[in-house]
Amino acid sequence: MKMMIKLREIRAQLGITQEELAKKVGVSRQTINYIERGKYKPTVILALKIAKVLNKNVEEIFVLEESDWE
Amino acid sequence: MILSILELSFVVVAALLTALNRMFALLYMAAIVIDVIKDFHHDEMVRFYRNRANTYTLAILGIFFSFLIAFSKKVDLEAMNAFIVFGFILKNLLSADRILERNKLIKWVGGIFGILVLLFTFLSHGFTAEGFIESAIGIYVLFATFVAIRWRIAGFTMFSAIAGFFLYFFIKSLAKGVFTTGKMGTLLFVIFPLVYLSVQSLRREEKL
Repeated sequence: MKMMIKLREIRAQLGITQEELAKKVGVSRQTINYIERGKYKPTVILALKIAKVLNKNVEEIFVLEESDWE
Repeated sequence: MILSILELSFVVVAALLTALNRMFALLYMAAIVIDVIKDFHHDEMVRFYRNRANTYTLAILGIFFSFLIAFSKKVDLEAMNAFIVFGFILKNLLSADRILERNKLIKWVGGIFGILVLLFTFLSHGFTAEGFIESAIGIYVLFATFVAIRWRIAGFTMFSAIAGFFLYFFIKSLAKGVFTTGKMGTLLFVIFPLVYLSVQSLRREEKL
C-alpha cells in the first residue's frame, strides 16, 4: 500500500509539533513520526482523530493512490 | 517495549532455578503477566508491531520445536524451558526491531546479552581460570556493542565473526550426531542473538 500521506506538510503549515499532535490524539511522538514517513498506516479511529485535531478532512491528509487499487 | 529488567529478571531466575526445583518454573508466569499488562499501556502502533511479532514468534517456535520433537532422541526439561525463554526473547526482539532506534536497540540487546553471558559464565565456572577464559566472549560482545553503536560495518563484522565462529562449531557438531538440547541452546541463545545484532548493526540510524 503506497497511500500518500500529507500529514507532515499540513502539520508544518499549522505550526504544530509532532509532540503536540501526539499528545492531542493520545499516541507517542514516534507513532506520528512513523505515520508521516509512511512506515505505519494508522487505524481509521486514529486517522479521524488526527483529521479532527488538524481541522481537516481525512482525505486531505491521507490520499489513496491509483496503485493502491492494484 | 523491549523486555523490561523486571521481566527479564523473572525469566532468567526461572530458567536458572528450574534445574534445582521445577516449581520455580511458575516464576515465568510473573513475566508473562507483566508482558500482557504492558500491552494495555501501549499505543496502537506498538500494539500492532507486538501483535505481528507474536505471529512470527509462533511460526518460528512452531517450526523449530516440531523439528526438535521429530529429530531429537528425547525432549527434556531444558527443551521446555527453552521454548518459554526463547519465545520471550524472540517476541521482544522482533517487535523492538521496529519500535526502537538502531543505537538504542543495539545498546540494550548487546549490553544485556553480554552481561548475561558473563553472569552465566561465572555462575557455571566461578572465578576460576576457565571462567575468566570463557568470560572473554561476554567482554567481546560488550566491546562489539560499543563498536556497533559508533561504526555500522565494524560492528557488523565483529558480531558476524563471532556468530560465524559459533555456527561453524555448531554445524560441525551437528554433523557428528543427533540434535541435542545443548546444541539447541547454542543455536537459540548464542548464535541467534549474535546474528540479530549483526543484522541490526547494518541498519542505518533513523531519527524517530
